[in-house]
Amino acid sequence: MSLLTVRNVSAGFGGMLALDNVSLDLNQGELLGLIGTNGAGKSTLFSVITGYVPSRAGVVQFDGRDISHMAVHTRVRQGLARTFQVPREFSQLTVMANMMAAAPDAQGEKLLSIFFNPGKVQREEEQVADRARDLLQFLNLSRVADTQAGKLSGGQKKLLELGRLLMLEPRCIMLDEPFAGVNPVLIGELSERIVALNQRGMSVLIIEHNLEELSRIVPRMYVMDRGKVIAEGKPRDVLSQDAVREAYMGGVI
Amino acid sequence: MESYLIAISIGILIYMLMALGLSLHYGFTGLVNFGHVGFFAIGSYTSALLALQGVPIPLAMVGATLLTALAAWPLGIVALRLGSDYLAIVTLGFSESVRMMLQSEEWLTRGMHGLPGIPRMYEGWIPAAQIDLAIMLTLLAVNGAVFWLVTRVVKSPFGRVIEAVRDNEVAVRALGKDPARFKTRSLMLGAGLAGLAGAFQAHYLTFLSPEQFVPLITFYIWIAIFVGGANRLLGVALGTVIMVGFLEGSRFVRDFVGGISEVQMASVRIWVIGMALILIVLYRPQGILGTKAGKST
Repeated sequence: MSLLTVRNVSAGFGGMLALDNVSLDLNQGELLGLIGTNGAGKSTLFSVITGYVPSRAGVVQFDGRDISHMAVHTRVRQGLARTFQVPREFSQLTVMANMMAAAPDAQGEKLLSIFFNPGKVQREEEQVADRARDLLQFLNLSRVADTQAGKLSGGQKKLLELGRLLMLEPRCIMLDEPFAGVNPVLIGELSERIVALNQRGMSVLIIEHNLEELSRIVPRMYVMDRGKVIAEGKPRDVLSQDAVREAYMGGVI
Repeated sequence: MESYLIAISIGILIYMLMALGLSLHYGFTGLVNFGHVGFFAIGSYTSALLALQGVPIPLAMVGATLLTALAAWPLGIVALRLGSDYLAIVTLGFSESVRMMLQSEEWLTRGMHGLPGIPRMYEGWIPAAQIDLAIMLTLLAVNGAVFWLVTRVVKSPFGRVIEAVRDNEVAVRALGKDPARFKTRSLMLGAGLAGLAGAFQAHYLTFLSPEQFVPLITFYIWIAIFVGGANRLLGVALGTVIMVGFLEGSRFVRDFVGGISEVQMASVRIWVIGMALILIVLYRPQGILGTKAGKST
């Protein structure tokens, strides 16, 4: 069953058409890849799905609901969360505070509750902190829990961003180049975590340039080129198609 | 001498209320508010006008605080969808509009003639000679309470989110939260504090006129929070003490060093403040007590 459905979406900046009639399906519980050259429109597609960039045509559905016109934060509340190509950590907050800031609908975000219901706020804080600690452990970030997020390495920031999303308990996560800038040892660890999340039932959509690692973990992928989807299927089949080799690798391989 | 110290302290404490508000805006939420004096003006005039209508002073002051916070609300709706540099211009324009309004709406504010005879705090309750001391002590207590209140706010989950908004607004949206909601509330809360400061100003000076609310006041407060550290409340308090203490205290210097005219002294004042600001920005950009922005190098 399709959880995330993109139908005939077009989008652009000024006179340039960045997405040209793109359709894509992410099934419930699937681990799906999305590849393409730089400028193929992958990140733009992410931004249209999550509402950062408006579409000119087409529909985005999540869990059967048309989310095309919802605000960014409202879409996230449906259970659809994303990371960014360049990590967007809260640089002056600690890693732990970064995680806790993500907690949805905390009572303590209401000014009146801070003063008139401090007990409830405190109890919630403890629960949120417990969950944050568990996730940091899962992502192997416990050591740096009290470090300012701006001081982390690029790879650690990527992990933190994933952790922050998991605080939301989303049903679907969209990862924009999770392996870029991450050292090889950590890549293995990171993809292991992604597979583990998927096995727990989370639907995952990954943009990635690291084809070797991606083909290892995703059973199915889409290929984009110049704003269009040009192929879809099992990594091995897709990567052997002439059009894909032509577009993606300049026909060298 | 003693009465002079009390006057300086009152000046410092009034500015400190404003500075705590601006710290909430800029230090914790990243809102570049160049129109803080506008909120100060709204609070002053509201409290003064209410008291002149016979409303008891404490009630007038509470009313002024609430009204100023409310005045920030529409500004929030309009301005908070803008980027930070636009917000700076819009708030500056807002505070100047407020000043122009105070100048031209003579039926309400008496315009350039100013508003005289505003009821003084504690008048008739305690001997006239002790009123200034009482105002200072009240301000001290109010600052203490506000300090506690703001500390609670910035250490709460709400405080965490406004800091997150400051660090990366796009990411806050990606976490399913609407940054505009948090920015509006921060703007209103900080504006309310400036309004409260204004109310004290009104019932301390007993005379208000539009030229007391020029943009220079806003920038004095900016310098104060920069000097001390915009995202540390203790730093903000310290910065205000240094800044206003120097502004007011430097008038003293002429009594000890002969041969300086008031005009020359004013130039020296501005020069010293300018130099201090440059040195701070160069050598300690986070302020005396502020924490450094974490950037991996």
